[in-house]
Amino acid sequence: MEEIREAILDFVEREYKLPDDIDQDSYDYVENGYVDSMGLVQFVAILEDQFDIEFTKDELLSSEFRTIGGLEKMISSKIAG
Amino acid sequence: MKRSLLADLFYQNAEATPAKKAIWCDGKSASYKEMADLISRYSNLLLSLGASYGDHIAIPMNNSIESVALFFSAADLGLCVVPLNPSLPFEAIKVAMLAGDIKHLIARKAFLSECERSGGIKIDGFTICLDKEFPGAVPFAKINEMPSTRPEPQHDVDGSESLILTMTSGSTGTPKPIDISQQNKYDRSMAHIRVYSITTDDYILAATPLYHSLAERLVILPLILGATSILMPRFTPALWLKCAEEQKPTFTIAVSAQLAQILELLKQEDAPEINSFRCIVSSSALLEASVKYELIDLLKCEFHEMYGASEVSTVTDICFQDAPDKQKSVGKPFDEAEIKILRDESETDFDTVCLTGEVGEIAVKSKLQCKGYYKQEAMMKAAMFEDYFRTGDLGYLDEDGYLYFAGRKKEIIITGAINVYPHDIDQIIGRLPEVEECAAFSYPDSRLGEVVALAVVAREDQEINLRSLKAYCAKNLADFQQPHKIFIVDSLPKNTMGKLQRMAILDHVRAAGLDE
Repeated sequence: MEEIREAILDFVEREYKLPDDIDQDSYDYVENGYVDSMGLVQFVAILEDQFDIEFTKDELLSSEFRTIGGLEKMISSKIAG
Repeated sequence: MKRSLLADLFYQNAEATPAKKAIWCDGKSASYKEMADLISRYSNLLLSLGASYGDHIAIPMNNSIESVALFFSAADLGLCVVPLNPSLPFEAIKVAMLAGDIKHLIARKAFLSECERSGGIKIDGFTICLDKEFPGAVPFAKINEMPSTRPEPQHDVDGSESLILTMTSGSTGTPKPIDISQQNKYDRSMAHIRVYSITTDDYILAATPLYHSLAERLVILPLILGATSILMPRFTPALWLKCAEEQKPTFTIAVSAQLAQILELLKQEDAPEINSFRCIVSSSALLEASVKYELIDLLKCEFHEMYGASEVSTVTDICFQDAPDKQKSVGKPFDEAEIKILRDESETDFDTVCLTGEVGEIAVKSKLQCKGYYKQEAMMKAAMFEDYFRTGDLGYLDEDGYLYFAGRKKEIIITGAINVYPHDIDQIIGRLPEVEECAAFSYPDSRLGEVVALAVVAREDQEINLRSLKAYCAKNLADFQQPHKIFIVDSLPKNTMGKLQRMAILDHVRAAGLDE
């Protein structure tokens, strides 16, 4: 799990550090502009490549994908198969 | 000694209105006095590390109060800032830094680590690490030990100095560093202050990245005028509305793709009421008429559209409420600018200038024109017709001198107001051994106006793996260059001379039934 979170944060915090006073698990990094619609394409490709997984269209549109905790869980369950 | 006009004006404002809010960004504010202290400390830090007149400093830049302070410190010391898009892949950063004659580097730790992992970048001067510590770099926190008094002038600063080099090409293609002098920044600010009647009472919102000229103008202008700058760290339509509701900006120049997204949210039932704006200007691409009217209705303010290019700044402007019969125009030229519409050279008989109403390439002569492309004189010369800059855009003038935009001549994709050069993408993807040929092209998108799409032809007996191609793009292209759609095709559309017909690719993939 740690490696997954690190990969997510590496990208999300590429330009701006996340605020300290947030609940990272439920933090919506899309809504808060840390990854925009252009960055998302790159973000998805990096995650799919790094963890050898594939996201479905529905998964990419889900609210789970947009939070750090939700995305971490999603990746982890994909890896577990 | 002659001192920087931009810095002088700022310090005069700080002297006159020390307690006034100078800037807000990401929940933090600084008064003019606090901003003056920060700028002075920043200048003293740069001087203590050995920065000297004319040096170039690269910075993968995010939107922050410190980034704005750097512009003013650089102006005061006669330095040149080279703001870079932090999302650029390392190779592109390296090319941009080389093109910008970089001596010093200011960056975040993540960037410096990435540099180290990728083989390093040669920096002759100092390196500052903005967050935390990094071996060989001076921590930015050292700024707190610096005096907050404006340093004594070290060298004449007469305004002709390059203040900012804006990189326009994102990848390995030769970058075109647009060279903007201090005087040029001042002239551009003054022209906008006049045209939009901006006063010290205005709260000016900048919601685009600071490594583009639009946001640079929107933060420098209020601080030399004595107004207030509202700088959004990142853009989403929801953040924009929240910022507008809380910070009550009165003026902004937004890119049209942003305005279209903002309207979507504004129309929702629970949308906040935004009533602080007195004037909004839309830039970068034509805004759909329906979006324009709905925005005017909801925001109840003066609504303008402008046309311009980073090289020549704003060229034309129109206020829609004042010109009801010119709703499709992008307006009349600023006093500083003159427009010529040029006929395609191949069709030229003897007169190269189009008649009224005839579509041709928009060329602009402007007192606001940049110094040129830094150390790329030939490239700038090629972009000129006599003393007019060829914009690469198509348009025409009506009998009253109003300009109408009619498309683009240059092969360029504009996604969310960022110019993407498809050739840069072709070059990178073309390096893959399984690719016979490829071409990036514009694909319509409701949010961003256009996005990048890619058509790829595989080499004989080779297969293209979509997932590894996407991963390759993610690693080797900047975020704005990422293909949102990839089509594997048997061939690319070409003319009889074998020249790629980029504008025809979308029809080509649709005809092949691939775009579903």
